[in-house]
Amino acid sequence: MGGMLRVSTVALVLLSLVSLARAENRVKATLISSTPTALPGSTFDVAIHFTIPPGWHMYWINPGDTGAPPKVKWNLPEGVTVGAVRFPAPRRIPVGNNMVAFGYENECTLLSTITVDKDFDAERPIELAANVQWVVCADECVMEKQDVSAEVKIGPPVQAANDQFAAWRSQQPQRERVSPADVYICVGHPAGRGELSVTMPHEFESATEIEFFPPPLDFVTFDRAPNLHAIVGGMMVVQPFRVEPGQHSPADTVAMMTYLDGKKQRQMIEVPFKVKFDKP
Amino acid sequence: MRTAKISAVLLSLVAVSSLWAKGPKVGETAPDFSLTDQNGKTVKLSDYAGKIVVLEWFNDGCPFVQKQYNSGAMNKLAAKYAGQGVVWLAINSTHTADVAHNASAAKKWSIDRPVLDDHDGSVGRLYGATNTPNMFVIDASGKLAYRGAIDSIASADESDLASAKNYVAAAIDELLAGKPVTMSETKPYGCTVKYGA
Repeated sequence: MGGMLRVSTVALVLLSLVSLARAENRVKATLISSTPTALPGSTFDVAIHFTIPPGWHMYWINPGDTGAPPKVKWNLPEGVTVGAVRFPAPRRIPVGNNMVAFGYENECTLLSTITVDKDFDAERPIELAANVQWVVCADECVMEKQDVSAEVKIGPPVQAANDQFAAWRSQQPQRERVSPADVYICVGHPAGRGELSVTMPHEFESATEIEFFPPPLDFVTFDRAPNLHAIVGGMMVVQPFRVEPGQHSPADTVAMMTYLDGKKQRQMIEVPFKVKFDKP
Repeated sequence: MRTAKISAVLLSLVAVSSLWAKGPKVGETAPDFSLTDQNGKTVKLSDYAGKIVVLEWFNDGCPFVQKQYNSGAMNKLAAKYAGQGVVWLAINSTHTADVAHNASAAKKWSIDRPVLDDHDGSVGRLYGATNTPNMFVIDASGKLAYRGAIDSIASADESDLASAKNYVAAAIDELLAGKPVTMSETKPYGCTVKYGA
């Protein structure tokens, strides 16, 4: 009798473990602070790190032919604010029948900067929390969500407390290297074509494997290979694009350029994409 | 003063989106097809000659489709335009689906319009459907008037529906008003269509 009871208890526990496992997400998200301690009046970086199982992938701000980028809803105490979520540079991932997604395999780390107001009540630790939701796809797609949190104690910040952050920062594109002044966007309405031209220094002559990722605008498609010209004072990369007629609103976002430099190092540069479409 | 084009070293790795390449273009005649709905009835596009027809690529396993149905948004939109004589056909080109699968999906989401079985993908490929949902609007003369996304926010999150511009509604409204469709082609978003080999 006692044996039977034990067996069925074990079975019950096993059953509930199975159902727990079923309810579990494929992707695991964690919120990680770059420092265990911070003071009122300071800023520090936090990471939302996603562990993605083999064969599955997540998405950049422009997901490409399929998918959607992750969304973060912060829940922060009074006196604590957060900047925009910064995405790492994406890779091209072949999906379906000759389609391409822009995103991440194995892992993806979003960075954000937290600002603690100088008047923040230093009696309590800084409780950071967010609800994160994402779409993850293999052949099929699923939407998952998770609440993540991290606690940062009040105290002098510790520089380089978490050496993972160096690696995660290196996955981020350079954001200041191309200024809006180096970018010229020409849209030839109503022909439905445009060109994104980026001025780069002379050294860019040795760049190879130049690729562009289009901005997250559903009426802009980068449908041809970029080309490279020498100009006075440097090089110019020109990325032709197709634009859908009928779009008249201003677009103010970013594209991404990646290439191998002369030392075969992969460079990732964010390119401002700001264009005002004329009325037809 | 070199202004000549000097190098063509660039890789051709730029994704040539399949979006613009395949299926009927806007302004071309929408090709006819014959498929079986969830009740076993044969449905032909040509049955609806003279009417505005919406084609909706469908897969109930896709979170971007689930967003439209769990929120009730797709049924609401279809019902609104059904009242104005617009025909709305969902097409499931998922290779693992069949008539019985579509019947259970239609029951689950109270879909009272045809959900067509295209599990061999022939109609999906004919139209160049790439995503679920991928929307096509055919005008009363049988010409394709819109192809692309359901709306302007590529997300699987129901809370984005309120702020998104629905391109299909905009296209139908313009057609019903006798006007040309302003946004006649957009980039579809969602899952990939799960075509078989």
